[in-house]
Amino acid sequence: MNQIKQKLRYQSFPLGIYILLLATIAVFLASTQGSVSPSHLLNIARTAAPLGIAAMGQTIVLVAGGLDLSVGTTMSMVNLVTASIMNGDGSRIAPAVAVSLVLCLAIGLVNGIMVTKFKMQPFLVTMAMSIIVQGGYYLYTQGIARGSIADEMRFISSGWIGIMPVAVIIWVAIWILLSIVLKKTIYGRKLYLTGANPAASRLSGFHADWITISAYVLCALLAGLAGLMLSAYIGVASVDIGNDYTLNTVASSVIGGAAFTGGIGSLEGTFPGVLIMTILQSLMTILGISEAGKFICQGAVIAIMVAINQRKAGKQ
Amino acid sequence: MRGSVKTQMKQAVPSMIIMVIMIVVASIASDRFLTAANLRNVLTQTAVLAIVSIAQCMALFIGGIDMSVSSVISISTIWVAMFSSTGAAGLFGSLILALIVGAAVGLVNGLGVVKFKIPAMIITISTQAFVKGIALVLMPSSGGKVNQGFADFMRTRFGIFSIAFLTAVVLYALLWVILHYTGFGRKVYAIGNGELYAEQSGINTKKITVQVYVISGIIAAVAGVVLSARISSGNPLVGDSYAMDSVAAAVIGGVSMNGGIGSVAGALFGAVILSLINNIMNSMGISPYYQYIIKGALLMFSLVLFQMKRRKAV
Amino acid sequence: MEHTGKMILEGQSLSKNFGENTVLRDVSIQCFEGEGLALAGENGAGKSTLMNIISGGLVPSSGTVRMDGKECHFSSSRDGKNAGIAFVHQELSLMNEMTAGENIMLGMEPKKGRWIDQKKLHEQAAGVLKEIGYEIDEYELVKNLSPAQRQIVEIAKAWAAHPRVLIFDEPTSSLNKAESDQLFDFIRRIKKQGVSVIVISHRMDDIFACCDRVIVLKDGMFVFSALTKDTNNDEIISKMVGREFKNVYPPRNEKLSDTIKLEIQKGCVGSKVKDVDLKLPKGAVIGIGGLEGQGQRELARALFGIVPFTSGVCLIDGEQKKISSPVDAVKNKIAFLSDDRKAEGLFLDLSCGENILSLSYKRNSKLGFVKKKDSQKEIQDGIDQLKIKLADARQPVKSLSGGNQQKIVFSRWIKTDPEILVLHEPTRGIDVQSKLEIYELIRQLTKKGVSVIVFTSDMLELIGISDEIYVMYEGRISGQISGKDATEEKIMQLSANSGKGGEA
Repeated sequence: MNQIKQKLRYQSFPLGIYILLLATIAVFLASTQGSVSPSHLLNIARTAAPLGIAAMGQTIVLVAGGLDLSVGTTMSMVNLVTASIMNGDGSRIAPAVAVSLVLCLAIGLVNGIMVTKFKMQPFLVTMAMSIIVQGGYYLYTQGIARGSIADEMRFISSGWIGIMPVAVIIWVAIWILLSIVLKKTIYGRKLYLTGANPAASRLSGFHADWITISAYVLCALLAGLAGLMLSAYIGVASVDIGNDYTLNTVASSVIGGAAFTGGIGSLEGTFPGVLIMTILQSLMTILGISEAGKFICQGAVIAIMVAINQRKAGKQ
Repeated sequence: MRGSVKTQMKQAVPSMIIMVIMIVVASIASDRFLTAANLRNVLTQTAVLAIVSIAQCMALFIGGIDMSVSSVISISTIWVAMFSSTGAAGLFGSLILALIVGAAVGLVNGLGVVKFKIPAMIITISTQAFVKGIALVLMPSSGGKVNQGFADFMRTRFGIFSIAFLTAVVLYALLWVILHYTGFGRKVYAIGNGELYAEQSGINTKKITVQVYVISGIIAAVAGVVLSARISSGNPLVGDSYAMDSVAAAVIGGVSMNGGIGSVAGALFGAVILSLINNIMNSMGISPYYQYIIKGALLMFSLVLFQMKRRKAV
Repeated sequence: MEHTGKMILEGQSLSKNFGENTVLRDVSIQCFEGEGLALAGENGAGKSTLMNIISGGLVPSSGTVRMDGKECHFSSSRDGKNAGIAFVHQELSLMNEMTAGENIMLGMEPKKGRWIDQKKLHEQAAGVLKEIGYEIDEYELVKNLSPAQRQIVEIAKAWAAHPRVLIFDEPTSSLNKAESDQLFDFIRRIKKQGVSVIVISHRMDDIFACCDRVIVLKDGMFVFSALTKDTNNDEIISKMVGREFKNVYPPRNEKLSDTIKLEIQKGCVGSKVKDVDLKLPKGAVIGIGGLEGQGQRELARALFGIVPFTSGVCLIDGEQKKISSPVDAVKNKIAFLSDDRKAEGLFLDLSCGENILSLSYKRNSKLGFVKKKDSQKEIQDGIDQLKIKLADARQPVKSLSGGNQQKIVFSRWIKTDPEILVLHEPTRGIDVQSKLEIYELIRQLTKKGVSVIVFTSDMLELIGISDEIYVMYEGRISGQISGKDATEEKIMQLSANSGKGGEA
């Protein structure tokens, strides 16, 4: 018995969050009184995909000891840029995607370099970046969203392969890939080490700054992918469409156990975190308080989860 | 002025210079800028941001941050819009309600930081979302009616000053004196310099921290009340941009995010600068969308500037 | 024991545990009015812990604190301060952005009406400084003051509240001789006014200059108490050490190798390290000592490339090398243990295993993927090799005791197979058993040909562990003695730069 306790005490798998996820699903099913089919649940998962992908980026940055508040505006930017370049023409998917991702790469690089080389607070740097990106796409569009997404690309959000939505397949594939990178590779381990203690990491002869920069770049690229997925979902250009995602990615990561001190958190936790956030929001929509409920549960969930995590950390 | 007041005031000097340069350039570039009407306009627009920046400053001084100010502003406009048009009793009731709710949000923030050891940014982001949700329940979209007498009163002019801007000035003067010339202010700066040290020096850091967040909440509520008079209605989203703008104003004004450094005076300059960007672009006929880029760039620039200066000092 | 005056403060059977680590065991202490009480002991003996409990900074795990016979339940230093106990900490707790005067009067600001009267405040602060006997511009910002001046401000801050018990933690560590004497004068003066003074120190001069009674702690336990007039240096030292210190250290090398592993010629780091010449023979232990703040820290960090040498030549195996960052240092098989284990040595929130493995991923991976089995074996080997006491390799490293934490730092660096080991205060704040194991380990490594440089402020350790000792004074090497011939006196002379002897 004691041995099992010991094993459980130090296991790193975020079991509690999966239990919470099951509980959330149970509450959801109970409150909709069986009017929800399994495919409805999969559909919810489908709409969660953009958040799921962006939240992974946020988790990686949090693990590296940072924070990225430019995720949302980056997604908005990708939506506007992709839609305007593509303008419904399937043959222009490649340049549209390429331009979007190059812009994301640049955003991530600047964030990372400002944070590491100029030793500035991630919070402020990414906030300033967010304002700049927003200004950039306002200027680009002059405030009027133009363009639409080609049908071929909409497939990644609206398509189904067998019983699974394509969006969920893409999300899960990226999730598994990145989980392996974080857990099993030297790069992933160094990411955790650098986030946990940048000074010690530097004194270990790691290229600590570049590890941190890579986290911001990864995050921006994932935000770009999430933006593409979101664009495919709504099908048209829409100003500021992604801005709410910033807080949602932070919330999902935090529910999943990521801490703001760096070195703590995992994608295994963020995945159910995203689902919990999305299901709660669907529930609110069904109950008819979608906008308000979204924020109320966001606020309550973040505060309670962080309080619990802090307490747990304090005990150890 | 001697002692640390002088050093803290020094932090505000770069922002003051930027502000003066902006004013000079704008008055040369556009003859519409230096008119009484335009100046009054700038100052009135500045009022809300200036007031909420005080709240942000308080939190930043102790090394914290208050992201919930935006929702407190929004919900305050809703209280005023919902109740004030019924008459004097409704007006005062709504004002007091706004302040009490602001204080309550601040109390939750403070207790979250002190009792549950939640990082300030997280707890205030949580309360920001939570209060925004409540605001949306109360009033899903812009509506209600603000007491006309109150709105007119806030718009009363004295030369280029409106009552709204004068409210901000009075609050600044008050907070400036409190922060620099009372034991409470001394303790606030001491906590920002190092919480552990402050504790060792016999300061009840927990109590002061909670007090700071409560005051921050109340001041944000005042900002909301002033804003409600300007827009004459309640709006659940109207405060949204103020969380980040107030941080930006404070940082541009030389307030350190690490706590213990800066003066509210700097935040006032920062707020004026941010409003000026908008106004100058309008009067020069430049696309208003540039303001975001300029705001962001200015924030980055101030960050680099202060970072380099402070690193050299160590 | 004979007492004069009445008892003010009493601690009864105080114990303190941090997790499974007991740092204070059943210690009782009394303090009388107008008495000077010295608290002596090695690093990690529990002196600071005891004083933190007495002054309210820590809550004891068991035992009580009484003041004037009444039981006190301090929950913070604030409570202690209100009760009239002031603590001058060794790590200074001043507000950098405030003036000296504002720091001194913090929490006691004079008011004119409702507002603080800045002028009067600074006048009063100047008065306090004068009372202590020092002159510092009370309007100067603390960040512009020298370490010695800050120490004085810290003392003034404590004294400004006119406490009944004044506790000093290593008060003279940043003061020169004249400044120290002035401080002792002050202490003798306030004792006459009935204030009790407790001085934590391991400097014998401090103890005999201003204390009437001395208490010695060792490994968290009370071992000795006497009136200072009835005891002497040697007795106190032997009680502090508790054993013949020579036996503690493993035997030195009989003869130093002729091969020079690392050589520094005319090494300079800004104005902190000047023209240092250093030769590290293969398989030898070189100790670098001196008073605190004589450039040892800068030299240690320059060797590892953290703050590189600004000029000078660095030869490794006779070849000129440029080490301008830790990355270069690791490539050249140099390992570095920082003096600040928590801030720079460990990843506190991560597991012990992760910490041990953190520098040997390459060996345990394939194509960038970490191999689970190999790495677990690597971790277990590390734990076994250094006898690290832990419940589970997955527990966070912050839950371990200082000694075990330090062993983990050693373990991770040993796994890089270093050829040069730069150790900065390798045994600071760890228990005696771990200390011995670390000394043993260092010698084992030298037998395998690893060359070691130890920077330490612990004189006994310096003498005990080193084959060759360099002493630093004001950034320069003021002398060199072989470990066999070294005595505390000789090293002290070189540290104060008063000796001509010992120059090799």
